[in-house]
Amino acid sequence: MAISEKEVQNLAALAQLELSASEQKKFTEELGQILSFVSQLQSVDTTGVAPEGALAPMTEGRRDEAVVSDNQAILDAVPATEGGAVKSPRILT
Amino acid sequence: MNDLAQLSVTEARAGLDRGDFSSRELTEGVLAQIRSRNSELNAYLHVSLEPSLAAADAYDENPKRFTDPLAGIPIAVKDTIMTCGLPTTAGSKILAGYVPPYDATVIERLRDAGAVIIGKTNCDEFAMGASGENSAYGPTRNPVDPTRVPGGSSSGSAAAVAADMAMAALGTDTGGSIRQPAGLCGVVGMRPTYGTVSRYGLIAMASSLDTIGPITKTVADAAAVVSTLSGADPRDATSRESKHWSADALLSRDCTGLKIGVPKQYFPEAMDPAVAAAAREAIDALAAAGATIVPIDLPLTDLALAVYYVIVPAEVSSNLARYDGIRYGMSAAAESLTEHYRRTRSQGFGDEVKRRIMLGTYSLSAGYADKYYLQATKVRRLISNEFSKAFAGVDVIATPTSPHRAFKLGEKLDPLSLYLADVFTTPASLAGLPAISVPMPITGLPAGLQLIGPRHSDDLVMSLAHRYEQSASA
Repeated sequence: MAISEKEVQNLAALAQLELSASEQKKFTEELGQILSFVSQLQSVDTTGVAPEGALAPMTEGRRDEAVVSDNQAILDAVPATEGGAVKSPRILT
Repeated sequence: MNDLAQLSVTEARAGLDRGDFSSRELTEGVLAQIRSRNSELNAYLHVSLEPSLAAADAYDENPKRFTDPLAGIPIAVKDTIMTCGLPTTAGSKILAGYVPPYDATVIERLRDAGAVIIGKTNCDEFAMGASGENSAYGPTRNPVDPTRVPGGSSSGSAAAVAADMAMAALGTDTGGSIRQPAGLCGVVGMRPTYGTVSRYGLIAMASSLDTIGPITKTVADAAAVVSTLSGADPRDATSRESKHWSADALLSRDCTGLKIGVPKQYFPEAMDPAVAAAAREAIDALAAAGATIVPIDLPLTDLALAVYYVIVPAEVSSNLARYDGIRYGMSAAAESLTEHYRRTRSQGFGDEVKRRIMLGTYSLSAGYADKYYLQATKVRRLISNEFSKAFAGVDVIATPTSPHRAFKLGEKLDPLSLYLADVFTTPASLAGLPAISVPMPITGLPAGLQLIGPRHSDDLVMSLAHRYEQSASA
């Protein structure tokens, strides 16, 4: 179950990663090996089997919305701020 | 080496209660041990010098204020767990210098208990790895033989406890990251039932599997930590109110006449024969103590790793989308937003993280989601059902924790061969079961015996491990 370099390039773009040419080659090989390994799952008959996601039943209770941390403590961890707001590169060009 | 650092939690508790020494003396003893061994072992990423002494002094001022068995005891915390005011990097460059504005629930519980948080331990980046070599801050080394790996991903937590640099440590276990390094370092590691301990404030890797638990010198110490940490938390919807176990209750289940299942799939030919022999002797010892040994068949065991390496990357790809270089952590500035994301993530993440993000992106993408992700979640249910059927006939399952002992640094470089190190620990993880690794008598490098129980039988698993530990040391 191989994967092509072009597919890896596309995956990297979808995942917001940029890969050098040598990384692209290396990851193509490694991801191909891992995909071959996990493709053994295709041979299992799962007709009528319900998927298992989270293992614990989710609690259905709701809690009140509350401010749990002050803004400044959160802003202190932000790489770039301006006037008490989070600064990012321009979104619309 | 100093005497106080060598104590177990239980011994230190007794000494504190008798007034033989203060929490400050205990903490200073552990800090001295860190000074003497950490430069070689790289178990700690951050040592919390002044705050830990302040916490020790707070205990010493009025010890009677605290009733928890962990009060005044120095404990290390894996760096994937948020600690307010203490750097938290998850072993990743992308969180270099990050200081969380709040505590994880487990940290709140430790602080309320009066425990002394002594520092943050090294780990594979975002808990992805089985050797401890995959940290952006350098590999951790095994205290038993520093040319070898300690296992992972809770590498620093296991090494710290094994080298007396912490009396106990918190680790996290997604596919074996508590049990496997505990086994390889010769200490105890317990993965509680999924949902027993709140994940609020745990930096998420794979949310349907991530579990916080203790690495300790003894099973009784692990019981003390589980007792303090467990209980429902409104901030984690998957946590649940199990009956509250005291440390004593976790150790006092009746273990007479238990049926112990031994699955043949956990003794493959390719494993270390000395580990297989030690596990068989351990099982004989359980039989000699009155248990009935029942050979069982778990044929889906061999598929667990494949299921794991579809489900985990899928959850990783979505959980790690939050590292954007805008809100926290590393930021590689660029003109456009997309460039900013890509540059930050490419420079900040290591190779294993990138591999898993891309694998998960693949297995969740249109055209592949049914074939990979959905199919893996169905096989996960079959594995879970297989355990349930087995537990209709046996009380506990006993296996070796890992097929091999600690390998040399740099020995396993390709990702797939490293994945195989977790072959005996991932099945119980996928089924959300409680499982413990307890050291077995063996010549040379350490190895663990794994005991797995049905969901919410943490007390049974720990009680049996406690009895085994006592018989093995007798």
